[in-house]
Amino acid sequence: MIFNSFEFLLFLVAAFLIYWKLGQKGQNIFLVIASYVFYGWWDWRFLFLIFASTAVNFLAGHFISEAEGAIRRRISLVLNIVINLGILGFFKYYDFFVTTLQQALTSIGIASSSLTTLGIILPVGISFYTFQAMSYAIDVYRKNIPATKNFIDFMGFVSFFPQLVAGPIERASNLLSQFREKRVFSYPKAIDGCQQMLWGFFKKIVVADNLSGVVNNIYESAASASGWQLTLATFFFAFQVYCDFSGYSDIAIGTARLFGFSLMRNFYFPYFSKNIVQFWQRWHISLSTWFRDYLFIPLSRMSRNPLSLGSYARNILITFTVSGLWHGANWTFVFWGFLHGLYFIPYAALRNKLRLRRAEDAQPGLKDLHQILFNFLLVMFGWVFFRSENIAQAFYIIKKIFVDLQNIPSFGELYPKRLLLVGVFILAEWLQRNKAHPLQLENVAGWAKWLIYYIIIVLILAVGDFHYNPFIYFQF
Amino acid sequence: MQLLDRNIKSFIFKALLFFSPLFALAGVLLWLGVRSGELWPIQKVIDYELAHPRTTLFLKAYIPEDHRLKYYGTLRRDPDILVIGSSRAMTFREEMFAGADFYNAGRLIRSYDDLEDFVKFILPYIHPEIIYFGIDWYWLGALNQYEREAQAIVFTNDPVYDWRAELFFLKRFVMAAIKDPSLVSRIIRKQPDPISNKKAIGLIAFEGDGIRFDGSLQNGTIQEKRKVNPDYFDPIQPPILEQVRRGISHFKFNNEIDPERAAVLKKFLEEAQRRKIEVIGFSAPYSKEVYSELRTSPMQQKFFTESVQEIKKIFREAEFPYFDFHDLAVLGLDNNYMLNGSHMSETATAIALKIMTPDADPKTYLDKKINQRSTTPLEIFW
Repeated sequence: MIFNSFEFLLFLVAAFLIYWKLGQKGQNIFLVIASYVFYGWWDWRFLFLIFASTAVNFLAGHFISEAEGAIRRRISLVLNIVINLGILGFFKYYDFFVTTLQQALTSIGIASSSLTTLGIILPVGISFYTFQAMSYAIDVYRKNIPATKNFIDFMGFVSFFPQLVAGPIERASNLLSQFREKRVFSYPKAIDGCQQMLWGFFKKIVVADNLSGVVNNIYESAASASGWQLTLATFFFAFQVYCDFSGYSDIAIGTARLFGFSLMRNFYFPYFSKNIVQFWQRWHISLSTWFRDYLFIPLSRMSRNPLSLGSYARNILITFTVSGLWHGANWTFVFWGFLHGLYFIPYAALRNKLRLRRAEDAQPGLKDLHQILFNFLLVMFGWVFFRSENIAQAFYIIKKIFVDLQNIPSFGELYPKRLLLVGVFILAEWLQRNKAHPLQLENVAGWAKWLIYYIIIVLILAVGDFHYNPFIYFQF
Repeated sequence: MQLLDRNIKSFIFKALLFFSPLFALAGVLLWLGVRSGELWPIQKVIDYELAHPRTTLFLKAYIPEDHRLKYYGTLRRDPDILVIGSSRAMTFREEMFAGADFYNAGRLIRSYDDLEDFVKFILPYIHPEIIYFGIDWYWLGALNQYEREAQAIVFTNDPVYDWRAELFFLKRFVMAAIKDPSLVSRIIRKQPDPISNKKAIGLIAFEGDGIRFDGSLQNGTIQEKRKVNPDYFDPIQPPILEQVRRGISHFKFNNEIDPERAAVLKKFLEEAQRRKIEVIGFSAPYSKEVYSELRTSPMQQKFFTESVQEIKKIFREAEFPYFDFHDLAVLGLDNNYMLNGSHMSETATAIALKIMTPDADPKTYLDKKINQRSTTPLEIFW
């Protein structure tokens, strides 16, 4: 069941009404049932896998906390990680690695007919819930949180439907603890949740879906497109992927609020970042912090001299490359991740001199425009790899962008309506960049707020593309 | 279970209040959609047609279902004389067959994929004596890609039950009503189609174009324009001649015969032979310029010629007649007998049918009708 569907609206209304008539225990059980219905709507066979993943991680938490001695605890953790990554690796990467191996063997003249791909269906959201469940076991091992004895609560934590298939990737310390607590309906939070959902739908249906057609057309005919067209398509893609993914996060966060849950912020106006460090403090925050806490920091601890530039750069590159691989079974994603790692290294070298401030403390202003634009261009360059079918196509497009600049497009060829849409969107986010989302309109009269909401709803209905358009990040 | 607390009730009340104008507006628009026929499911359209024969004109603007109409219409009518083919076969009218049990299923077949589905999903369940089959030569083209519409129909519900289709209708209808405010009052008053005064089902039918009870197409709009300006012109955008010259749409350059598609035609004719159904094949004419371009253009000529030859060969081997009317001169006509570059008029159809029909009496009947003073290049005024 996707968010931008009538079925989801009916499901949400029914779930909301039933949920608030139940006591806390009943609410948790109901959320598990509702989440399994939500997830099973895609394909009921996926339910076995998510249940198995839930059971494995629940038991892992139990064994880790009950194990006597550090070695047994470590063995339990390692086993848990191997099983989780094994499941993820099989469903997501088996065919990719077999194909890569086939190509490598063929290139050196070795027959590879015995290696065959399996055509495995990728379960929706497997990357998200696997990481989410794994983080629980790791946190139990680190004694950051106690192991839970309540399997229902844990099922709810893993399968919570607002964030199940595309994040935010929650930590047990935040989300699981909320399952243990009594939830009280908060009228202001529910209203804020609805506002954030509305903004999320606007981003996804109006902005992202309307840009995707242009991007697909130009990228699929890259050979006949000019450098300007490819540049424009990449620019549009930057906003397509941002609006698609952050729109989903907004809907997830807003929906969770209707049920009394607070999810972590996942996007913090990332294109207003002044440098790449800030960008990764603002983009897909739940994933970047996951990799920081569970890969980068352990790698640093294992390094002999973690503060040296060499160790830092190596650990950054490993972390970002693996993060790229997480996004998809294609070398383009790996390269994209590696590229962002490379972007980090100068900042690592100069970090003492730059005195970089955290994203929350460093609200950008117009005086930072040159830094914002430069950083955006770096990120946009990386999106070419993210969007391309393969590495060869990515480099072909990049070459064209820099070389094929003769045919300057006319105004009509610049898709002016879509440019206007992106411009209005950027303006709205810029003006409200100090807020959690642009529809937090505290100083606006009630009737004006309703008018703005109606305009957005009409835009969603009138301009929105309601053909089947699953969220980009669902492929992960 | 507990009662909902005051905050929740207040939230629900506010949400209902907020959405009520939108729900009310959507309700009114959906009511207009039903009243106009745009949101009628096809089975309801067919039920109404059969209950009120020869009183309706059907064509929707925003949820195109003419294929679905012809699919179920053919199955439910099960006529003695059936016309199949693309829209280029839709000017055969029941009056031309002098009271015979007739149905025009033109628009049902737009490719050999559709023909294959016709053989699989429809032919086993109908019992026609004669099938007039309008064949478009480019269907054999290996470069031409087509959607299998019958399969979409068989395995899906009527799109009027799909909220996405209804939302699409609502959006387009609002735009249409803004452009032409009289549309709403015409729907409310259930104004009949302005050409034949029949009950209009669907917004295109409200303008005078649509599918009649016999399945043929009433081309009201173009006929009214040609009454004002009788000279031939091609209103299709881009015109068919341009499509042929540019090699777009059906007319792709360097096309070649797909043997699998030719095999589908053979299989259909074999099945018709087995069932003792008479099949009369024909290819409808083009305007003179389009035909000339197809015959002389170095980019089109080879495939056009080979394709027509292949069709003739297949029919000859199956011992069924095939009539090549691509050239208007074969019918003794000029462009004034064409509705556009690729669709012949009702009069041209009657003339073609007179040539095709095997029996003497129908020939005499058609001759008499064509020669009546009320005949124009476009219409016979049945």
